This record gives sequence, structure tokens and C-alpha cells, in this order.
Amino acid sequence: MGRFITRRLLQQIPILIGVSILVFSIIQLAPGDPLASYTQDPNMTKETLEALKEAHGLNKSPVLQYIDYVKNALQGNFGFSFQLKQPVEKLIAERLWPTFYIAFGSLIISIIIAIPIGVISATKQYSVFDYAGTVFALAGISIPAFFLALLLKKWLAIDLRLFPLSGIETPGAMYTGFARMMDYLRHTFIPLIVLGLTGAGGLMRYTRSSMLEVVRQDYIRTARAKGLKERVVIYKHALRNALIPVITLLGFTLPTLFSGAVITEIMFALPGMGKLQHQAVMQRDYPVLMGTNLFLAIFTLLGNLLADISYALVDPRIRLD
Amino acid sequence: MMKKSIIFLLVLTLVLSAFLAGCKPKDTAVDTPPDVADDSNKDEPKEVYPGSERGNVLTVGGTSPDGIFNPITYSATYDYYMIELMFNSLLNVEKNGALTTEGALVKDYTVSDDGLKYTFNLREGIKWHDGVEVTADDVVFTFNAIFAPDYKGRGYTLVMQDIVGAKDVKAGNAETAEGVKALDKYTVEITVEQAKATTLRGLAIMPIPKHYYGDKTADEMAALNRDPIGNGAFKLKKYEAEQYVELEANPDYWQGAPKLDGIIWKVIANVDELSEFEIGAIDAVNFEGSIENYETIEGDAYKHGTLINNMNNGYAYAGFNFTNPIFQDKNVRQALAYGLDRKGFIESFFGDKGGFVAHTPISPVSWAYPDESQLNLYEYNKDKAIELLEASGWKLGADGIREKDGKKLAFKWHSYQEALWSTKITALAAEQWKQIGVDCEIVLMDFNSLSTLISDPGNKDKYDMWNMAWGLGADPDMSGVYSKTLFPPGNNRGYFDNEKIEQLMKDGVVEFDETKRKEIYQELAREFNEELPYLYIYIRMSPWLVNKRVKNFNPSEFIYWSRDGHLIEIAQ
Repeated sequence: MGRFITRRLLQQIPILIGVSILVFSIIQLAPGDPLASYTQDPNMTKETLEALKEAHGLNKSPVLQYIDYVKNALQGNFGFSFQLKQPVEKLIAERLWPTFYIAFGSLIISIIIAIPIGVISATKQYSVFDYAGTVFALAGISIPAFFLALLLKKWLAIDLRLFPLSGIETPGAMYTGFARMMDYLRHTFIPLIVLGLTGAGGLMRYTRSSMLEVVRQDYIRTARAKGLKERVVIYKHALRNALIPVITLLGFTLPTLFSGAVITEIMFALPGMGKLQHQAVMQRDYPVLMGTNLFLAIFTLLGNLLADISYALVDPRIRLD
Repeated sequence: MMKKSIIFLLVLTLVLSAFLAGCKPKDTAVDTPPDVADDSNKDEPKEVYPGSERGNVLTVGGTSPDGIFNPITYSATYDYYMIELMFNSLLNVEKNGALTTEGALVKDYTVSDDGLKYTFNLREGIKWHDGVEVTADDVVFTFNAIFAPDYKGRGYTLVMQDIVGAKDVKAGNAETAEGVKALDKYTVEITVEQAKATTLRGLAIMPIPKHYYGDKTADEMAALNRDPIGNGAFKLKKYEAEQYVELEANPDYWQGAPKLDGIIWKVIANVDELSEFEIGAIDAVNFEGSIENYETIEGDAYKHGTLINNMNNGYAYAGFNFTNPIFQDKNVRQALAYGLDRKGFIESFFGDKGGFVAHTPISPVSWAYPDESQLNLYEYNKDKAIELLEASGWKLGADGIREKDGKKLAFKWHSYQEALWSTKITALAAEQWKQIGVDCEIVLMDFNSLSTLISDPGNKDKYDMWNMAWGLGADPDMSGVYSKTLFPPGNNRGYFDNEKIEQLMKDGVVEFDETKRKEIYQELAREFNEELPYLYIYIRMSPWLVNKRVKNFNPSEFIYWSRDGHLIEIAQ
């Protein structure tokens, strides 16, 4: 196992270099200019623009720019955002926790909703509950997050005034400890529900189909033949096996925990990675684009590795060495 | 069994949500405001306005600032609001746009007779937030920081380049510019190369403290963007990226302690700008002046709001690229103006409150704006448009498109998708111009790509028309956009070159006599209106909705609400 992990980690290095070259080239090839927003100023002169280009290092050839970037990145310096004028690693760091919190919280909600419904739908295939679950799943998959967000906001925040409309905490309140946690929960209740519900559908269908496959296996029949209670058969023998592919699926969601949900973030004014990247794309903020893409590439690779390892852990038939 | 656990789950969810809802943090938990008060007691002071539970703190909602709280490197208006609350300027503007020393760091100033030397006398005893006195050294330092080669802001303007020695510093040949000198602790003398009427305004910067930012490179200075030390009525207390900015009162402010305890800039979602106001989460919002929004705020839920409907100082336009021979003909440009129902477009888009037709690149609230009877309003008139095209020899072809010398009256209009007006006006133009025999093809792209396209001299023949907007300053000088010396990458993206206008713009800049300047700019206004280097489209409003519990929140065309932040009061 140790050898496998080391080998896999070493394999990631050339992949990362490839990713960085690819991302850098795409950014350079795309039309647009990071200084374009400056050209909206009626006082802007050619001299000013030239001085800005020079100060931002945009006058060098792309190859030199890439070499500079890699040199700095290896020293832990991922550049300065053109627009926000802060180090890229700082911008990512301050959005990391809210992004993770929203993604992880909604994932938990998805799991709580999806797995029980999936299991019950499978054990009672073609029952009313199964059909209701399927309708629910399809609705979850097909309702756009922004639409559900608008509905819930109108109902819970504007009409009933139970929750705030946006943000992640009360500005200037300076709560600490439990009060702060409750403040967070109150502010993020609607977005968590929105993302949780829209994410639950797919997961529920996965659980259902995986479960359906497992309950037809011989060992389940054996368990029943042994006279085990139905509850034990389903939850001890069947569910454990059925969850293997689901766990793998969750391993692949690791990068999405940090990539942010741009529409939800914009709808609820949340300080997340999605908004940072969206803004960077619109403004052609090259250092931020490079930084966030590399960061997500690392998490994608790690997520794949994690999924492979978790396979080995939960499924004794798989050996990694 | 199974059913039980589901019921349990449902109950848990219900309890949890009830718990969360009931558990509002103490400080904000105040009785919900009385839903509707009768019209009769509307003005009685006893009515509790939503948001009153926040006490003596003003909360303004809007887009997230970039977090660049440095007056020489910021770029967003939202950052500027915060900066203006924390920093004072060398000179202020009055409501009509004229310069004044009232409320400014400069007590009085003199301009030499040749217009080349400016002497500023600073007020004595004004302190930075850390207690150090504001002196001439700070002012000199700030100018040199803008000249520095690694400076990354938009402050190195034409006026700055005009200061003696600035270019040497920018080129790395000198540490400081000889044209900026501290004569004594409170006196700064600035020498420029050319006498211009626009210089004084350009010199009125906001100084930053030398003892704090001195000896720092531009990047090191940027690291302090979120820990500014200013000299204004408020100090930065907390900045949470993309969430809020919290300012606290500076009790030692030289114009007197602010009446508020603090100001919070709350980041809100665009879709909620009115809803947040409705539920009382924010006290003021600069909302989008759409016809729907103006209707919404008429409703009962917005009775606690006052509308301040000022003009936004800027104009939206569609530019003509003069390198295309089609647009070199004035008749064609005028025909396109007559052939597009700009007024109808504005009425359907902004309603009767949100905007009006623009005619010339001068602010209608400026002293330089001529009487509108002197301008051609180009009211929608298809016949007039056709007449002009016929006069120029554009004859209707078999396919309904006009042609002359075998060339069709066809061109491309590059536009951007991000703004609704942009997609709507282009669609309307394509349809209405077809009726006068003009074939206009719309190409939509994103804003950044469009900016890049029109700023590159290599793209000269790749676009015919485009649309964008320009801001207008308190000074009417428009040479920064229309001068023939500013072809791309400069601001003159249509390659407009008109001898008479060029000369008038030059005269306007070097004329110091107010009356004569006024005559020049009024003539320019008429010339632009006649020549149409751009198809001027609209000037929109910049509406604020302000809670009635707030007093002295007074934005105007040339002055932001944040300028006199120390005067803003909360009545409840």
C-alpha cells in the first residue's frame, strides 16, 4: 500500500506540470486583456497603460512569463491578483473555509436525504414510496439551484423573515463561540438546503441502483435462508456492499468541496471560490486563474487517489500492490 | 421500523429548523417591526422603521469592494466610498462641481500668473489616525509614489505626467520629481510643464501617510491595503472579503466627531438589492434604475424609504469607426441617429424616471452644458433618415439594402452580453435600421474581449460600431476621449479626427477665463451634437433608496454620499 501511494504521488508531478502548461496556454490564447478595465477610464493615457503593462510584467513573451511563474510558484509565491492586489494564496485561503463549509454541509444534507430514500426505494421497488422517491430525485436533478434559491428566499427570508437573505454572518456583530456558530447556521440555512436538495437526487439514484444489484446477490439469499431478520439482512449485509460504489463517488467529489458553487454564491453573496474564479475569468486576472486552477487540479488528483485507496479499504477483493 | 426512522428524520428537520429560526442572535433579535402603519401617522416620529434595531450604525448594501483601501491604487467605486470616508482630499468639489477648500486638507492655494506653479497651504493640526500630523512631506511622498516605476494604479494621469520631473521618476532615472517640493511643513509647491485649466483638479489627490507607507515597494504597500491609516472621519475596523467592511467613527476628526458610531458596507446579492431594503437589513442602496424597480419601491413594503434620484454622471454611446468609409459621411451618421428610436428604447427600458436621451458628451448638470434648444435632438424620424441617405447617394438595392458604387450599406456592430441594455439596443437598431435600408449585423462578445478588440491598433478594420459608456467628470474637458492624439491603444477608438473640434478642445484646456471657457464648451457641445462621432444613447439615473431613519445622506451628481460621512445621522 505504501509503495502504491508513493508511486501514485510521483506520477502526479508530470501531470501537474502538464496541467499548468495547458492552463497557462489556454489563458494566454483566450481573447482579452487583464488591463482592459483600465481602458474604461477617460483619463487613461497610452503612457499610463504602457507603465502598467511594464509594472505587471505583461510585456514579456508568454514563455518567459510561464518560466517566471513556475520559478515563483516553486518558492510558494503564486503571484499577485491584478484586480484585487493581494497574493493569490491569500485570496484562496480566505475563501477556502466558507467554500468548504457550504460544500461539505450541503453534502451531508444530501447524504442524509439520499441514502435512506435510496435504500428504501430499492427494498420496496415499484412501491408508491419508490415512485415518490424517483420523482423527488428527478425534481432535485432538474430544478436549477437559482430557481429553488429564489423560491426559498421569497418564502423563508422575505415573507416569513425566519432567515437572512444573504451573507454568511451578521456584519459587525463579532459573535464568538456558540453564538457565532448559530449565526453561521442561520445565514447559510437556505443555501445549504438548496445545494443539499439539488445534490441529493443523483446520489439517491446511485444508492438505489447499487442496492438493487446487491439484494439480488447469492449471499443475500444465503443470509435470508439462514433466517436472519430482514433488518439485519438489509442494513448489515446489503447496505455495506451497496455503499462501495457510493463511497468511490464521494471520493471523486473531494475537489468539488473546494471548487465552489458559483451560482449559489452569487445568489446568496457568499464569499466562495466560485465567485473568485468567475470574477477572475471576467477580468482576465491571470495569476488568480492560474492559482485556482492549479489548486483544484491538485485536489482532483488527490481525490482520485483517495477514491482508489478507499476502494481497497472497503472492498477486500481489491489489492493495490 | 422504517417508517419510524423517517418520521424521526422529519421531526428532527422540523425541530432543527424551528430551533435555528428561533435562535436569532440576541443583539439583532428585536420585535418584528409593525407591518403596516396607517397612512395617517406616517410622519409621526413614533413609527419604528425597519432596521432601527441596528442603532447608531449605518448599513449600506452593495457590490463587494476589492479591498484596496488606498486612495492611489484603488479601482472600484465601492472601494472609493470606503476610502472617502477614511481619507480627505487636498481639495473638494462643491455641489455644482466647482473646486473648494471647504472641508479639504488645503486651507488656501495660489496659482502663478503663468499657470505653471501651484502652491498649496495645508491646514495645521490635522492628524492621521495614528496621531501623527499630516504635513507637506506626506503630500510630496504621495505624488512620488504615483510616479514610481512599480506603481500599479490608474493615478498616473495626463496631469501627473505634466509635472516637472515625473517622467524621469517613471523611467527610473530619478528618485523624486523636482516639480513637487515641500517649501515648509505645511506648504507644497508643484510645478508643471504646461498651463492648463484642468491641472488644479488633477492635482487634488488624497495624500497617504509617509511614515506608514514610505520606503515600501508597490507590492509591500499593497500588503497594507486592508490596514489603511487615513485622516478622515472614519477608521477601518474590519474587512471580511466579499462579506462586509466595517468602519468606526474617528472621535478626533478635525471637522468634529462623526454623528454615527460606525458604517457597515454589506455585500448583498444583486437580485436582492431591494428585498434587503424591504426587510430592513440595509439602510441605503444604490439600486439599478429599471422600470420594474421604480415600480416595486412604490409598494407598501417600501414606505420606510426615500428615493434620491440623481443623474449618473456619464453617457452610454454607440461608437462609429471612422476608418470605415461608410461612417466618414456625416449624413450616414445622422441618418442612423434619426433611424433609431432612442427615446422609445429608454422609455421601455428605464421608464420615465430612470434615464433620458444623451445628445452630447457634456454633463447636463455642468455649467458648460448649452441650452437644449441649441441642440439637434434627432427625434425618431424614418423619412428624415431615408432622405439623408438618398442625398448621399445610397440607393435602395433589390434586396432592400442600400448600395452605392457597388458597395452595400452593411456593417458590423460589436457589443457585449453582460448588460441587458447592450443586447436590447443592438437588436432594436438592427431591426429599425433595416427599415431604412441599412444592414447591421450584431456580434456579441464578453465585455473584456470587446475592450481588448477596440483598444488594439492592429484591429483597426475589424469592427465598425461598438457600444460602451464613458464617465463624465466635473470638468467638461473631453479631449481624453476624442483627441486625434489618442488613437488606440488610447481612448479614441473610433479614430475620430475633426480639425475644428480638435482646436476647440485645445483652446478649452488652456483657457483660464471661466466665461470664455463656457463659450468654448458650449460650442463644442453643439459641434459634437452635429458631427456625431458617437451615436449618443442615454444618460441614466443613479437612484438611491434611503431609510427614513437616516438623515443627511446626500449623494449628488458630483459628490458621493461618502464625502460628508461625518454629517450623516441616524434619527432612530
